[in-house]
Amino acid sequence: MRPESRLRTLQLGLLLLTLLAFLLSLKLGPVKTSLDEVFRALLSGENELSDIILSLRFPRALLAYLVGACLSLSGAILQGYFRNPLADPFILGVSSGASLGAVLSLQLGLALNLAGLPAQSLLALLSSLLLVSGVYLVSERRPFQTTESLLLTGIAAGALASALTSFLLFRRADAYEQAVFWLLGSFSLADWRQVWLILGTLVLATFIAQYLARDMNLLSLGDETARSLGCPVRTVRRIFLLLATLLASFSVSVAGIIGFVGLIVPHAVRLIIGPDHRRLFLHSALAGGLFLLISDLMARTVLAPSELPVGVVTAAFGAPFFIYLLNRPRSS
Amino acid sequence: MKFLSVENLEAGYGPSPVISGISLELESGEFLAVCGPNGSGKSTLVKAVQKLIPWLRGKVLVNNRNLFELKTRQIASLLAYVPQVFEPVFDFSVEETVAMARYYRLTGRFAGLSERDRAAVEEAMKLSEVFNLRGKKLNELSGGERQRVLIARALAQDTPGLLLDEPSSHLDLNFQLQVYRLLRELQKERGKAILVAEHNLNLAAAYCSSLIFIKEGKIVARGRPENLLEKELVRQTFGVEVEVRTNLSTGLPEISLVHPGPGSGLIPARTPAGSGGEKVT
Repeated sequence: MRPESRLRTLQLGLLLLTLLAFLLSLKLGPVKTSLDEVFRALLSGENELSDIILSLRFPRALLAYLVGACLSLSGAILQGYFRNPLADPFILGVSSGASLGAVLSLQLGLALNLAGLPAQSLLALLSSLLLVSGVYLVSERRPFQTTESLLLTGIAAGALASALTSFLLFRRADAYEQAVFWLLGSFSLADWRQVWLILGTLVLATFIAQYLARDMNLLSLGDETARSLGCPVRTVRRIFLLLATLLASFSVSVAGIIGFVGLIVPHAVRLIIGPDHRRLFLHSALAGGLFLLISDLMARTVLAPSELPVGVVTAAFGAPFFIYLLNRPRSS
Repeated sequence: MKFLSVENLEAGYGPSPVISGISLELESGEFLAVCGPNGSGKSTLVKAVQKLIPWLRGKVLVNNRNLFELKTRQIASLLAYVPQVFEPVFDFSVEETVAMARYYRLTGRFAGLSERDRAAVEEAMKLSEVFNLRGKKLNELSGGERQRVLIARALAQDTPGLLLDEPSSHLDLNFQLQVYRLLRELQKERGKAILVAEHNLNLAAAYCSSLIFIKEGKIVARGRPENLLEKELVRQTFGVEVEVRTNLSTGLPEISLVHPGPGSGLIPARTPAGSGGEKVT
């Protein structure tokens, strides 16, 4: 297939599957509803089931979609940033930082709520942002910062944060169950305020990423080449790192740690439509949304009435695909 | 017209500079090669002129404008740089790669290439003979083909100055000549100023209008090829014994290595078994 027609096919497929997945997400659940009732609830909002559909299923489906889009865009950015198709949103320690914050807040028993975010989400957000900022500042103390030093500092800081998390859990085992539930990721607590928060983050980040997508194409050739072709490498790198970190941190703060979305979705999209970031960013976001929407649908229906952590579903899809990618012959 | 002027330039990657005290001038329509042994700093010199080295001191004027005060985009409109061939990470096609040279000219952030940009990309691909490969991915190309793609990209940048880091290193003999012929044409027909780091002295001597010899980060000689390709100077710079002859067809000087006989002393001679040495008892 020609590249253009592959792009069209992907777009059509995404559109149809996304509509279908949204409909199913609104229809399926512990309370039986018909498609007719779903449409009536969406259009008029007046029937006895509209409450379930509009304030439980709809925000949950939207939030899953938006978080998937955020994680996938974050992954697409970082894969370009590190010139490594195996980079993912948590590579700089966002997940370890967030876990530490969440466990800390559970242990302290903090009770507050801001913009739809409970205490553990707020602390997770804060500590993941702090951790990545720290990693950046430490590795920046060189005239030409290398991505390797950033990556290694991130891994080290992540390990430290994980050690602290383990220590906290070890000290107070009663918080363990709650922490694990949160860490594995779930959309069961979704509400509209979280939807607006993530939507805002996503729209802003997508716009900026799209604005700088050309520069990411240059960066992916190497810093030296990028600079010689007119890309202000340092500034562009800073902005992209900030975007990727914000996307990942906000996602984790509302949904916990959901792996593999940000790794495999951009990678798969790149295989279909090529590496041009001007297309890759947007389509990764759209495909990531769809992927997580379907994953969450499965998480809550496969073993109904009990609910799987959504991270389990994404990993079940993601890990085999990841292994396939690793063993794929290098040249196409 | 003076295109590039470098005064007392120091450049490096850490506390101690790789090159220092470098002063040189490059006219429009001049083709200058920096030659020196491995590690002499010739690549560093070429990169420093494009501000690609983290640590720089001295003065570099490009078209009478201070390089250190120019924005990255402005530098990209004056100088194009051809790096050494590298392993591509993402599968960009040849055409996409060459088109990246036009990014710095695009006005709108979401705008595509204009007709003029497309024409420049196409011409550049034709000049360096990669037009037939335009739909291929970089990963599918040989080292030599990739090298020509990088040259095409620099040509598509459409700058008055061209910098090249060892452009012949991945090319076979035929394409070495083709690339250098193309560079000389760009110099003569389009008045480009070309600065190239090159370790192949004969190639540089045959095509460049002047040469610089660099050793341990300092310029040791500069002049026309016929004056620089001289036995004693080559021995001092490169540390090898050479013969200098005149190429009968071009009339230009050429060097050939004087091969020492066996027993160069690099590997200590082994004592034949059973003739003295340690006795096995």
